[in-house]
Order: sequence, then C-alpha cells, then structure tokens
Amino acid sequence: MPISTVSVTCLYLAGGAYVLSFVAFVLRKERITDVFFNGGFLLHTISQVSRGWFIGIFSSHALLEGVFFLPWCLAFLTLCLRFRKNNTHLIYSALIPLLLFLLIASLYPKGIVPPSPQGQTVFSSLFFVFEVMAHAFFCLGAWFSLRYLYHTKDAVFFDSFVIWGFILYSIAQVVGAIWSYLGWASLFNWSQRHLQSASTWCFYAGYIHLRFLSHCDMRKKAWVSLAGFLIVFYFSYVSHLREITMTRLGG
Amino acid sequence: MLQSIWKFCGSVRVTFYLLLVVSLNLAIASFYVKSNPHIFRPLNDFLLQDWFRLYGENNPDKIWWLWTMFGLLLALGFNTGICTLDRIRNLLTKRHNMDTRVFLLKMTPSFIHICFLIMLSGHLISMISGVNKRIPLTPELETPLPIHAQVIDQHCDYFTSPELLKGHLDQCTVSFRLHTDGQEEVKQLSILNPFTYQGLTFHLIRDKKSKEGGLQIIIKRDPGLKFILFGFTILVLLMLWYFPKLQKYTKGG
Repeated sequence: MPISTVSVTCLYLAGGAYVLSFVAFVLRKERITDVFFNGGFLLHTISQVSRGWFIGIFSSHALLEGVFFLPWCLAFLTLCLRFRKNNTHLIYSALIPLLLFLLIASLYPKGIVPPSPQGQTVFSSLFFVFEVMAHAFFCLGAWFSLRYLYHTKDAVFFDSFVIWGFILYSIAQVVGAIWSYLGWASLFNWSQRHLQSASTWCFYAGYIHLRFLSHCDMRKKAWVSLAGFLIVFYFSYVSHLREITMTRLGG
Repeated sequence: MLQSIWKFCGSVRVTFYLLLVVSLNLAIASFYVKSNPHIFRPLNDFLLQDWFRLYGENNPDKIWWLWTMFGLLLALGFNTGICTLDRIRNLLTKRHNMDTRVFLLKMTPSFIHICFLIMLSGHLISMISGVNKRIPLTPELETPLPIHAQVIDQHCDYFTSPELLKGHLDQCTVSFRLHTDGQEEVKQLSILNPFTYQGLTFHLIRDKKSKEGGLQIIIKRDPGLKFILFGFTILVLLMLWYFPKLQKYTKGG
C-alpha cells in the first residue's frame, strides 16, 4: 500500500475513533472515551508521520502543514491534559474543536506543496512546530474560556493555556526571524504575514499584562482570550485555507 | 501633579491599551501592505528615509499607518521604560525583606521589559542605518560598494527523484570572485547559506515575485540584527523561566 494511502486512511480512521470517543463522552462512559481517544490518537500520529513521506521522500513541510498539524497538536494537548488532570468532563470537551479542525483537514486537498529551496532548513521546521503548537494552545485556551463563561464552576485553566501559547508563539517568532534572515536577508519583512504575526504577538502581550490589572477578573480575561483566538484564526488559519489554490503533488 | 503624570505614563493599564492599539495598527497595516505592493515591497530594499523620499512622500494617504505605528511604539517604549524604572526602584527598596529567589522572580518582568526595549531599538536601528542593496544576478555584479564581484560559476540543481518531484528546484549555487583593494577571494553562495565579506553579508535570494522571476543578490549590513536577536532570545528564555516559577510560587502560596 502506498504511504500516501496509509496516511489518508489513518486520518479518516482517527476521525472515526474520535467521533466514537465523543459519543462515549456524551454518554458519560469514561473508560470507553479513553480507549477510543487513545486509539484515535495513535492512528492520527501514524497518519501525520506518514504524511512526511507522502511523495516518496521526507518533507517536514508536509508533516507540519498547519491544516493537518493543528488537529494533531490539539489531540496531543488533550492527551497530555488527560494524564495530568482528572476533570474528564472538561478535558474531553476539547474533542469538539478537535473534531471541527479534523473535519476541515479531511475535506482539504491531501497532496503536498512542492518543497522550495528556502524551506530546506531546520529553522523552517522549528518555526512551524512552535507556531502551530502555539495556535493549538490559543485554541484550547479560547475553548476553555468559552466553557468558563458558560459554566463558571469549571476549573480555570484557560489562562495557563494562553500563557504557554504566548511563550511558544514568541519562540516561533525568534526561530522564524532567523529563517527569514537566512532565506530573505531580513529578520522582519514588510509583508502581510509578518505584520499579522506582529499584530497577534502584541495582542497576546496585552493579555499577559491583564494579570497586573486590579480591575480585571477572570471573566474579562476569558473574553480577551476568545478575541485573541479569533485573530489567530483569521490571520493564520484562514491564510492556510487560502493555500488550497496552490499546486499540490500527490492529490 | 508631575508625579501623577509619571505614574499614569508608566501604568500597566496604559501598557495594555497601547498594546491593543499597536496590534490593531499592525493589523490595518497588513491590509495596506497587501493591497499596495508597489509602494510597500520596496520598503524591504531601502532604508526608511530613502524609501520615504522615493515612495512614501507621494502616497501620504497610503502610509498614514506608518506614522501612527511609530508614534504608538514610541509611546509604548516610554511607557515600558518608566514602568521598568519604577518597578526596579520599588523592588530595590524592599530588597532586604525578600528572599533572593523571590527578589529575582519579581525582578524578571523588568528584565523582560529591558529586553523588549533592546529589541524595539534594534528594529529602529535596522530600519534607518546600515547597508541594504538588492541587485539582479549578472556576470559582472554592479555593486554600489567598493567591492568588485564577478560571477565565475552559477548552477541550479533540480530534483531527479521521486517521480512526483522531478524538475522542481532543489538548490542554486553561485561562485564569486571578489576584489577589494588588490585583495582577491573566491566565495560560494547558495540559498539559505549567506556569507560575510568585509562586514557585509551576501544573500542569494530566489524572488518569484520579481520581474526577472529569478535569482537576486542582497548585500546587507544590519547593525540592528544583534540587538533584535539578543533581546528577543533573552526575553523568551526569561519567560520560560518566569511563568513556571510564578505558577509554582502561586500554588505554593
């Protein structure tokens, strides 16, 4: 079986396992939820890794392409959270954003954008790892903020997600600046992409300062966290979706 | 009166709102840059003052956001500086009542702010000083500098396997003979592998959007580079130390 078929088949199977996990979660069958989620994550990981070899040679860009890598990061964070905390009702609610992003990935063209000479550096790979992982943190931060706004009794851990998202996003900016210097001779370019990244960074830097404001309670922080993810979604995820028109290899 | 103005200028509330407005300004800027590439693409190839003379001056309605951005960043710089000074002064007066680890933890946001100021200054230095020349790749490079550069070899490699990638560009390499003041040196340049010669960095760029649609050389001396990289790297490292420690201390009361 070609590796591209393995990758796509495992993606759909992972989606199926996550759906079953979600059904078990709704029916409050904790153990079955765990089993399906772990199985789904294993299949998802196989799909994601094999995507790296989609066209016959390894391409980190294929492995780390935002539309496909973001759902994996969301699943990974949910799994990590499950190991650390017992609040399964709150943790597995993260299956909702995960399934939404996985649905988009399953409808998205599966082929890969041909690797360009500028992308063949470890800094490019590191940039995408940190950037997409930061987006996953922001996404879950926004999701738990939403939960907090509607169920105020839910544990407040959206704040930690946003803070860690900001740290990872900052690392992505440093690594991305080095990549930009090597590939385009400048740490910062006057381009839409760089300006939008700077805008996102400044917004979340503002969020970080909320902890020092006496009048700011957790509900206000939750609203700011939600607004932040809308910015990330529009600036980053929508730009990933625009790549749908690019020439792709293998599907 | 002066004290309350000073307090207001350094307040965290002002920082928060300034950051939000800077974020909004940058978001607006991104749309202007996208819709006016003929004005803003050259901003990457010229120093700010030269770009302004050639492109900015004639398009005041398209570059207003640049002035508001400079104004806001200047205000943010002042706000951060005042806030940092106040915080350090306050913490130093309470130093003798504090455990060293707690003192360092409380000082960390101030160090982070200093790094931010270094980074911001680096960006300003990069924009207004140094050398930034983009030239098309021709056999005799017309460098506007006292360096004579001659291309002695130039080739591009294309993928030969796997089947799907056949014919796609893999890498381009250019060899130069460089002469300055009677000295001669041969250097090799490829995409992502710049070299430094007499304080100048040579980059090989593949610009698909250029009229030539091919290879270009960028010769650069960026005095702000070290400030930006140093400031941002230390800022990130300090955040990596600060937030987990803060969580630990908060949980432990």
